[in-house]
Amino acid sequence: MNYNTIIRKLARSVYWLNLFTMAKTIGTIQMFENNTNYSGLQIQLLYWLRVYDMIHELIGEKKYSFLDEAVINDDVRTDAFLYFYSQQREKELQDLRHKEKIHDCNFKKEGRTTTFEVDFGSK
Amino acid sequence: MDDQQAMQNFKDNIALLIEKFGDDSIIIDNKLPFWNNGKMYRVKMPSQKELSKVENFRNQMQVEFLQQPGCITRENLKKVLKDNAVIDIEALEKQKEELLVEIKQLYYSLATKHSDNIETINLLKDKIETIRKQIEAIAIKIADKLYPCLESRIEKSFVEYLTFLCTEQLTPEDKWLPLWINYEEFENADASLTQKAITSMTWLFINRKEF
Repeated sequence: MNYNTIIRKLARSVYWLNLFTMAKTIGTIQMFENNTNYSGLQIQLLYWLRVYDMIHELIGEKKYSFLDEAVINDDVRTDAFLYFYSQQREKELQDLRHKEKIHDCNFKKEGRTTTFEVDFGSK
Repeated sequence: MDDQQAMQNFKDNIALLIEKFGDDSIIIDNKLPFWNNGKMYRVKMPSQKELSKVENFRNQMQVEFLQQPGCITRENLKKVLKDNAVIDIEALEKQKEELLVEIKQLYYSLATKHSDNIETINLLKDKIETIRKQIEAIAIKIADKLYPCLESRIEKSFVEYLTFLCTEQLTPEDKWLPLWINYEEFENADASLTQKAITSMTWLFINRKEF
Protein backbone atom coordinates (compact mmCIF):
# COMPACT_ATOMS: atom_id res chain seq x y z
CA MET A 1 0.00 0.00 0.00
CA ASN A 2 1.27 3.46 -0.87
CA TYR A 3 0.67 5.72 2.09
CA ASN A 4 1.88 8.88 0.30
CA THR A 5 -1.45 9.27 -1.49
CA ILE A 6 -3.40 8.72 1.74
CA ILE A 7 -1.25 11.21 3.66
CA ARG A 8 -1.74 13.88 1.01
CA LYS A 9 -5.49 13.21 0.90
CA LEU A 10 -5.64 13.60 4.68
CA ALA A 11 -3.59 16.79 4.56
CA ARG A 12 -6.07 18.25 2.03
CA SER A 13 -9.09 17.42 4.20
CA VAL A 14 -10.97 20.24 5.91
CA TYR A 15 -10.67 18.50 9.29
CA TRP A 16 -6.87 18.28 9.33
CA LEU A 17 -6.34 21.66 7.69
CA ASN A 18 -8.59 23.32 10.29
CA LEU A 19 -6.77 21.53 13.08
CA PHE A 20 -3.44 22.65 11.64
CA THR A 21 -4.60 26.26 11.30
CA MET A 22 -5.87 26.25 14.88
CA ALA A 23 -2.64 24.69 16.15
CA LYS A 24 -0.70 27.33 14.23
CA THR A 25 -2.78 30.18 15.66
CA ILE A 26 -3.34 28.99 19.22
CA GLY A 27 -0.21 26.93 19.53
CA THR A 28 -1.51 24.52 22.18
CA ILE A 29 -3.62 22.04 20.24
CA GLN A 30 -2.40 18.47 20.36
CA MET A 31 -2.86 17.03 16.90
CA PHE A 32 -1.92 13.42 17.62
CA GLU A 33 -2.28 11.03 20.54
CA ASN A 34 1.49 11.20 21.02
CA ASN A 35 3.23 14.53 21.39
CA THR A 36 6.79 13.23 21.09
CA ASN A 37 8.58 10.60 19.02
CA TYR A 38 6.59 11.35 15.86
CA SER A 39 6.49 8.67 13.22
CA GLY A 40 7.75 9.36 9.72
CA LEU A 41 4.14 9.30 8.51
CA GLN A 42 3.13 11.97 11.05
CA ILE A 43 6.07 14.15 10.01
CA GLN A 44 5.03 13.69 6.41
CA LEU A 45 1.45 14.76 7.25
CA LEU A 46 2.74 17.90 9.01
CA TYR A 47 4.88 18.70 5.96
CA TRP A 48 1.90 18.42 3.57
CA LEU A 49 -0.37 20.37 5.92
CA ARG A 50 2.16 23.20 5.82
CA VAL A 51 2.38 22.97 2.00
CA TYR A 52 -1.41 22.99 1.44
CA ASP A 53 -1.83 25.79 3.99
CA MET A 54 0.74 27.84 2.05
CA ILE A 55 -0.97 27.11 -1.29
CA HIS A 56 -4.35 28.16 0.15
CA GLU A 57 -2.76 31.45 1.24
CA LEU A 58 -1.28 31.96 -2.23
CA ILE A 59 -4.69 31.29 -3.82
CA GLY A 60 -6.12 33.97 -1.49
CA GLU A 61 -3.43 36.43 -2.53
CA LYS A 62 -4.29 35.80 -6.23
CA LYS A 63 -0.64 36.20 -7.15
CA TYR A 64 -0.74 33.36 -9.67
CA SER A 65 -3.77 33.32 -11.99
CA PHE A 66 -3.28 29.61 -12.79
CA LEU A 67 -3.33 28.55 -9.13
CA ASP A 68 -6.71 27.32 -7.92
CA GLU A 69 -8.38 24.56 -5.88
CA ALA A 70 -8.07 22.13 -8.82
CA VAL A 71 -4.28 22.29 -8.45
CA ILE A 72 -4.52 21.31 -4.77
CA ASN A 73 -6.71 18.31 -5.61
CA ASP A 74 -4.23 17.00 -8.19
CA ASP A 75 -0.97 15.60 -6.77
CA VAL A 76 1.01 15.95 -10.04
CA ARG A 77 -0.13 19.56 -10.57
CA THR A 78 0.70 20.36 -6.94
CA ASP A 79 4.20 18.89 -7.36
CA ALA A 80 4.59 20.92 -10.55
CA PHE A 81 3.48 24.11 -8.81
CA LEU A 82 5.84 23.50 -5.88
CA TYR A 83 8.75 23.17 -8.29
CA PHE A 84 7.70 26.30 -10.16
CA TYR A 85 7.28 28.19 -6.86
CA SER A 86 10.70 27.12 -5.56
CA GLN A 87 12.27 28.32 -8.82
CA GLN A 88 10.47 31.66 -8.53
CA ARG A 89 11.60 32.09 -4.93
CA GLU A 90 15.17 31.25 -5.91
CA LYS A 91 15.03 33.84 -8.68
CA GLU A 92 13.60 36.49 -6.33
CA LEU A 93 16.35 35.78 -3.80
CA GLN A 94 19.02 36.06 -6.48
CA ASP A 95 17.56 39.39 -7.66
CA LEU A 96 17.49 40.65 -4.07
CA ARG A 97 21.12 39.62 -3.50
CA HIS A 98 22.08 41.33 -6.76
CA LYS A 99 20.28 44.57 -5.77
CA GLU A 100 21.86 44.53 -2.29
CA LYS A 101 25.26 44.13 -3.88
CA ILE A 102 24.67 47.20 -6.05
CA HIS A 103 23.38 49.21 -3.05
CA ASP A 104 26.36 48.20 -0.93
CA CYS A 105 28.72 49.41 -3.64
CA ASN A 106 26.98 52.82 -3.76
CA PHE A 107 26.82 53.20 0.03
CA LYS A 108 23.34 54.63 -0.41
CA LYS A 109 21.14 51.92 1.05
CA GLU A 110 18.34 53.50 3.09
CA GLY A 111 18.04 52.51 6.72
CA ARG A 112 21.56 51.13 6.90
CA THR A 113 24.51 53.00 8.31
CA THR A 114 27.91 51.68 7.56
CA THR A 115 30.97 52.41 9.70
CA PHE A 116 32.39 54.17 6.69
CA GLU A 117 29.45 56.62 6.53
CA VAL A 118 29.51 57.31 10.28
CA ASP A 119 33.20 58.23 10.08
CA PHE A 120 32.44 60.61 7.25
CA GLY A 121 29.66 62.34 9.22
CA SER A 122 31.81 63.03 12.25
CA LYS A 123 34.24 65.15 10.30
CA MET B 1 -36.92 -0.13 3.50
CA ASP B 2 -36.52 -3.87 2.94
CA ASP B 3 -33.87 -6.02 4.64
CA GLN B 4 -31.65 -6.05 1.58
CA GLN B 5 -31.70 -2.28 1.31
CA ALA B 6 -31.04 -1.94 5.05
CA MET B 7 -28.09 -4.31 4.79
CA GLN B 8 -26.70 -2.35 1.83
CA ASN B 9 -26.97 0.91 3.80
CA PHE B 10 -25.26 -0.73 6.74
CA LYS B 11 -22.42 -1.96 4.47
CA ASP B 12 -22.09 1.49 2.89
CA ASN B 13 -21.81 3.09 6.31
CA ILE B 14 -19.22 0.57 7.44
CA ALA B 15 -17.24 1.21 4.23
CA LEU B 16 -17.36 4.94 4.94
CA LEU B 17 -16.21 4.39 8.52
CA ILE B 18 -13.35 2.15 7.38
CA GLU B 19 -12.35 4.75 4.81
CA LYS B 20 -12.46 7.54 7.38
CA PHE B 21 -10.87 5.84 10.35
CA GLY B 22 -8.75 3.47 8.29
CA ASP B 23 -7.04 6.51 6.78
CA ASP B 24 -6.70 8.37 10.05
CA SER B 25 -5.36 5.32 11.84
CA ILE B 26 -2.03 5.65 10.05
CA ILE B 27 -1.26 9.00 11.68
CA ILE B 28 -3.45 9.29 14.77
CA ASP B 29 -0.54 7.98 16.87
CA ASN B 30 3.01 6.82 16.17
CA LYS B 31 1.93 3.26 15.32
CA LEU B 32 0.88 1.65 12.06
CA PRO B 33 -1.71 -1.16 12.07
CA PHE B 34 -1.84 -3.95 9.48
CA TRP B 35 -3.71 -7.18 8.89
CA ASN B 36 -2.48 -10.68 8.09
CA ASN B 37 -4.68 -13.79 7.76
CA GLY B 38 -7.57 -12.08 9.54
CA LYS B 39 -5.46 -11.05 12.53
CA MET B 40 -4.54 -7.52 13.49
CA TYR B 41 -0.97 -6.40 14.13
CA ARG B 42 0.85 -3.09 14.44
CA VAL B 43 4.35 -1.69 14.31
CA LYS B 44 5.28 1.11 16.69
CA MET B 45 8.01 3.71 16.92
CA PRO B 46 10.89 2.44 19.05
CA SER B 47 11.60 3.74 22.54
CA GLN B 48 15.08 5.08 23.31
CA LYS B 49 16.00 1.72 24.87
CA GLU B 50 14.83 -0.20 21.78
CA LEU B 51 16.68 2.18 19.55
CA SER B 52 19.91 1.60 21.48
CA LYS B 53 19.41 -2.16 21.10
CA VAL B 54 18.94 -1.79 17.34
CA GLU B 55 22.03 0.37 17.02
CA ASN B 56 24.08 -2.20 18.95
CA PHE B 57 22.75 -4.92 16.69
CA ARG B 58 23.61 -2.90 13.60
CA ASN B 59 27.18 -2.41 14.83
CA GLN B 60 27.53 -6.12 15.57
CA MET B 61 26.23 -7.02 12.12
CA GLN B 62 28.62 -4.59 10.47
CA VAL B 63 31.59 -6.29 12.14
CA GLU B 64 30.19 -9.72 11.25
CA PHE B 65 29.63 -8.80 7.59
CA LEU B 66 33.10 -7.28 7.28
CA GLN B 67 34.65 -10.59 8.40
CA GLN B 68 32.75 -12.60 5.80
CA PRO B 69 34.50 -13.49 2.54
CA GLY B 70 33.11 -11.58 -0.44
CA CYS B 71 31.98 -8.62 1.65
CA ILE B 72 31.97 -5.61 -0.67
CA THR B 73 31.13 -1.92 -0.26
CA ARG B 74 28.69 -0.09 -2.53
CA GLU B 75 31.40 1.82 -4.38
CA ASN B 76 33.53 -1.30 -4.94
CA LEU B 77 30.53 -3.29 -6.11
CA LYS B 78 29.75 -0.58 -8.66
CA LYS B 79 33.31 -0.88 -9.95
CA VAL B 80 33.19 -4.71 -10.11
CA LEU B 81 29.89 -4.63 -11.98
CA LYS B 82 31.27 -2.14 -14.48
CA ASP B 83 34.64 -3.87 -14.95
CA ASN B 84 32.94 -7.20 -15.60
CA ALA B 85 30.56 -5.60 -18.08
CA VAL B 86 27.53 -6.60 -15.99
CA ILE B 87 26.05 -3.13 -15.61
CA ASP B 88 27.26 0.48 -15.49
CA ILE B 89 25.57 1.93 -12.40
CA GLU B 90 27.11 5.38 -12.90
CA ALA B 91 25.69 5.56 -16.42
CA LEU B 92 22.27 4.58 -15.06
CA GLU B 93 22.53 7.24 -12.35
CA LYS B 94 23.42 9.81 -15.01
CA GLN B 95 20.45 8.69 -17.09
CA LYS B 96 18.25 9.13 -14.02
CA GLU B 97 19.58 12.66 -13.51
CA GLU B 98 18.80 13.53 -17.14
CA LEU B 99 15.26 12.23 -16.76
CA LEU B 100 14.87 14.32 -13.61
CA VAL B 101 15.89 17.43 -15.54
CA GLU B 102 13.32 16.52 -18.20
CA ILE B 103 10.57 16.05 -15.61
CA LYS B 104 11.41 19.44 -14.04
CA GLN B 105 10.99 21.14 -17.41
CA LEU B 106 7.59 19.48 -17.79
CA TYR B 107 6.70 20.52 -14.23
CA TYR B 108 7.48 24.13 -15.08
CA SER B 109 5.24 23.98 -18.12
CA LEU B 110 2.42 22.17 -16.27
CA ALA B 111 2.48 24.55 -13.30
CA THR B 112 1.56 27.57 -15.40
CA LYS B 113 -1.42 25.98 -17.16
CA HIS B 114 -4.90 27.17 -16.19
CA SER B 115 -7.33 24.50 -15.01
CA ASP B 116 -9.60 24.87 -18.06
CA ASN B 117 -6.75 23.84 -20.36
CA ILE B 118 -7.63 20.20 -19.72
CA GLU B 119 -6.16 18.70 -22.91
CA THR B 120 -2.69 20.19 -22.43
CA ILE B 121 -2.72 19.39 -18.71
CA ASN B 122 -3.52 15.73 -19.40
CA LEU B 123 -0.89 15.56 -22.13
CA LEU B 124 1.80 16.93 -19.81
CA LYS B 125 0.69 14.68 -16.96
CA ASP B 126 0.95 11.63 -19.24
CA LYS B 127 4.48 12.63 -20.26
CA ILE B 128 5.44 13.14 -16.60
CA GLU B 129 3.99 9.75 -15.65
CA THR B 130 5.97 8.04 -18.44
CA ILE B 131 9.22 9.61 -17.25
CA ARG B 132 8.39 8.91 -13.61
CA LYS B 133 7.98 5.22 -14.46
CA GLN B 134 11.32 5.24 -16.30
CA ILE B 135 13.02 6.80 -13.24
CA GLU B 136 11.36 4.23 -10.98
CA ALA B 137 12.52 1.37 -13.22
CA ILE B 138 16.10 2.65 -13.14
CA ALA B 139 16.00 3.06 -9.35
CA ILE B 140 14.75 -0.52 -8.95
CA LYS B 141 17.43 -1.80 -11.32
CA ILE B 142 20.17 -0.01 -9.36
CA ALA B 143 18.83 -1.16 -5.98
CA ASP B 144 18.55 -4.72 -7.25
CA LYS B 145 22.14 -4.84 -8.52
CA LEU B 146 23.55 -3.17 -5.39
CA TYR B 147 21.52 -5.32 -3.02
CA PRO B 148 24.49 -7.55 -1.98
CA CYS B 149 26.67 -4.59 -0.94
CA LEU B 150 27.65 -4.00 2.69
CA GLU B 151 25.56 -0.85 3.14
CA SER B 152 22.36 -2.51 1.87
CA ARG B 153 22.89 -5.56 4.07
CA ILE B 154 23.42 -3.39 7.15
CA GLU B 155 20.29 -1.36 6.38
CA LYS B 156 18.30 -4.55 5.87
CA SER B 157 19.50 -5.97 9.21
CA PHE B 158 18.64 -2.69 10.92
CA VAL B 159 15.06 -2.63 9.67
CA GLU B 160 14.56 -6.34 10.35
CA TYR B 161 15.77 -6.08 13.95
CA LEU B 162 13.67 -2.97 14.49
CA THR B 163 10.64 -4.82 13.10
CA PHE B 164 11.30 -7.75 15.43
CA LEU B 165 11.41 -5.41 18.46
CA CYS B 166 8.49 -3.16 17.53
CA THR B 167 5.80 -5.45 16.10
CA GLU B 168 2.82 -6.20 18.33
CA GLN B 169 -0.26 -8.39 18.00
CA LEU B 170 -3.77 -7.78 19.29
CA THR B 171 -4.79 -10.50 21.73
CA PRO B 172 -8.41 -11.74 22.15
CA GLU B 173 -8.37 -9.76 25.43
CA ASP B 174 -7.82 -6.57 23.40
CA LYS B 175 -4.25 -6.12 24.59
CA TRP B 176 -1.23 -5.31 22.43
CA LEU B 177 1.68 -7.64 23.13
CA PRO B 178 5.06 -8.17 21.42
CA LEU B 179 4.65 -10.63 18.56
CA TRP B 180 8.01 -12.37 18.72
CA ILE B 181 9.79 -13.42 21.92
CA ASN B 182 13.26 -13.51 20.37
CA TYR B 183 15.01 -12.76 17.08
CA GLU B 184 15.24 -16.44 16.18
CA GLU B 185 11.45 -16.66 16.34
CA PHE B 186 11.21 -13.68 14.00
CA GLU B 187 13.66 -15.27 11.55
CA ASN B 188 11.65 -18.50 11.48
CA ALA B 189 8.23 -16.83 11.26
CA ASP B 190 5.85 -16.98 8.31
CA ALA B 191 7.45 -14.88 5.55
CA SER B 192 4.18 -13.22 4.51
CA LEU B 193 3.77 -11.88 8.04
CA THR B 194 7.39 -10.73 8.46
CA GLN B 195 7.35 -9.05 5.05
CA LYS B 196 4.16 -7.13 5.87
CA ALA B 197 5.66 -6.09 9.21
CA ILE B 198 8.92 -4.97 7.56
CA THR B 199 7.04 -2.99 4.89
CA SER B 200 4.90 -1.32 7.56
CA MET B 201 7.97 -0.48 9.62
CA THR B 202 9.68 1.02 6.57
CA TRP B 203 6.62 3.23 5.96
CA LEU B 204 6.45 4.24 9.61
CA PHE B 205 10.05 5.35 9.39
CA ILE B 206 9.85 7.48 6.23
CA ASN B 207 11.71 10.75 6.76
CA ARG B 208 13.29 9.45 9.95
CA LYS B 209 16.66 8.89 8.34
CA GLU B 210 18.44 10.25 11.41
CA PHE B 211 18.19 6.71 12.76
